[in-house]
Amino acid sequence: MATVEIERIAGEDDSGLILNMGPQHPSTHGVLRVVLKMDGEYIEEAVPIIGYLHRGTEKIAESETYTQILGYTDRMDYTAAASSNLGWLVAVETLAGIEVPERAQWLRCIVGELGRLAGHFVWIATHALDIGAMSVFLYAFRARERVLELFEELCGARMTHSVMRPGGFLEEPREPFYEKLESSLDYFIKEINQFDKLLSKNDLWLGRTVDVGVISGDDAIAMGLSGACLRGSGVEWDIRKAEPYAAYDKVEFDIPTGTGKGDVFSRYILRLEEMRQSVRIMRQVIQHMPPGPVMTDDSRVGRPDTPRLYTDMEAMINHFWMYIHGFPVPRGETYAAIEAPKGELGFYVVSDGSGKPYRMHVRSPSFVNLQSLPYLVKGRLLADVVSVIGSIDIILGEIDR
Amino acid sequence: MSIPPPVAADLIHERVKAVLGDKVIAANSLRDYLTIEIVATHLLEVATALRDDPELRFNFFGDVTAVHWPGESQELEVVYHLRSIPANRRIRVKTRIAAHESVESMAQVWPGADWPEREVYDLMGVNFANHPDLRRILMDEDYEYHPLRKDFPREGL
Repeated sequence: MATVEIERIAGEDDSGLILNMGPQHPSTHGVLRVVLKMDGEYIEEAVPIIGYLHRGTEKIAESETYTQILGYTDRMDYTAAASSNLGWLVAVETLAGIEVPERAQWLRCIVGELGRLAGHFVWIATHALDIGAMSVFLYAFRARERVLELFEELCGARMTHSVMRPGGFLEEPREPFYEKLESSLDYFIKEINQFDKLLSKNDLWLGRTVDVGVISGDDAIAMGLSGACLRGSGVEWDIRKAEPYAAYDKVEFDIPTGTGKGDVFSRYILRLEEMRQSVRIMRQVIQHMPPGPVMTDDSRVGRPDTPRLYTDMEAMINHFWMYIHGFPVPRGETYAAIEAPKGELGFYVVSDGSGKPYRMHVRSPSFVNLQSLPYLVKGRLLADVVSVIGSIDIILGEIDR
Repeated sequence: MSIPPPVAADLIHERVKAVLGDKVIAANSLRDYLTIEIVATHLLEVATALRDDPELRFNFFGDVTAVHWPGESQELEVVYHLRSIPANRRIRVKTRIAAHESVESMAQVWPGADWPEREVYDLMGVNFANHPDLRRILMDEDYEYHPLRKDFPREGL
């Protein structure tokens, strides 16, 4: 795949230096490959090459039940699996018309925001490491470990947890979860402030981020950028507010837009603020979460109670049917989008009335955001590629699917 | 610039009808939001109208994908999801083509359609006319198939 690319951008006259970066380069965040045409230290053309991690999730999904697909969505944005899960569930529930209980909606905000924190901790860690701030990497991974411990407390798994189900949650989290969560929130704020102190006024950091990779608000919209890449250019846009899902319409939070200049620094400073807002959302959820069930009583998706399962034949048939064939979803289509840590994550689902989707398509934020890379680095220095890739915050699992 | 409240769905529906007229073959708002079906040859006009109309301003190209319905004369259904940030509304535009036909590239209207269209070309085999750089993106350059079509087996060739 790459030889063709190299020949293509080298052109007829074969002038200039062709530089190959990745797919094993540590600062490309996975298996991204960028072929660069250089004019000395400056970039004439950059061509990102993707597809090294393509696993055909959309194809696989056509032969799995709606619940099974949940496990595949985990592997898309693996740093914040909760968001991918949530996006998929919102789509399935809209399509099937499943009502999710109030408490589960609030709990989904916690899981979603923990996912966002985990994703952003990995982002600041790798972004800072790429630019040369080694200690931030260590601190951020320590903080992320705390988030993963919370997930472990919630469901036993740490990264790819699939803790939610169509219709709510499998079960109420065990008691120490809420206590541990509450005691961790202050710790997160402390850590975030520490990154702020380490980097925001650091001369080296500013030199590598301010006025690097600039994109205007209008260009960002035209290119389809979403998430921090769009907000960093001063466009106040967040799907949690624009089209609220879960319980985001019941909590208060701000949408940070950084410095609004659309450079790497703006995207950095707003993601830090976004993490603080996540903590703020979780505090409100803990305070205002109503009691009640966390799983819908809709018999199409709800698992029958265990005692009934052992005494009632119909309940057992229902249980077997559900786990073998999946629950039937009415004919139709839907597109549901959520605000994932990377931007607008959308799922387009077409159902033919069976227990498996006829077609499932993922609009992954990293994929669309990455196409702005050639634009952002054109005419810049080679070293800027590294900081721009870090600031777009890409996850190759989500780009290649 | 804060997030505007969503414009009423009826107003959007009315306006789309007024702007596009009889170019809309079918329209419905089941489950989520307005879906319109159009003839593939009208696509470029419709897209430009939706983007430039001062009341609609569908300025954000959300997504493009395709669904394969084998056995039908127009077997590829191309689906666009557009979003209007000023009106805080979404719209779905659908069109049908036969496998050998092509649709106009939306990258002429929204630059952000570039990669999503390459993906649909790669995995579904939809041809986009006037696309700036229509090449495979996820699969290998010399790959011969379009794996998301229904006649492509899941368990290897």
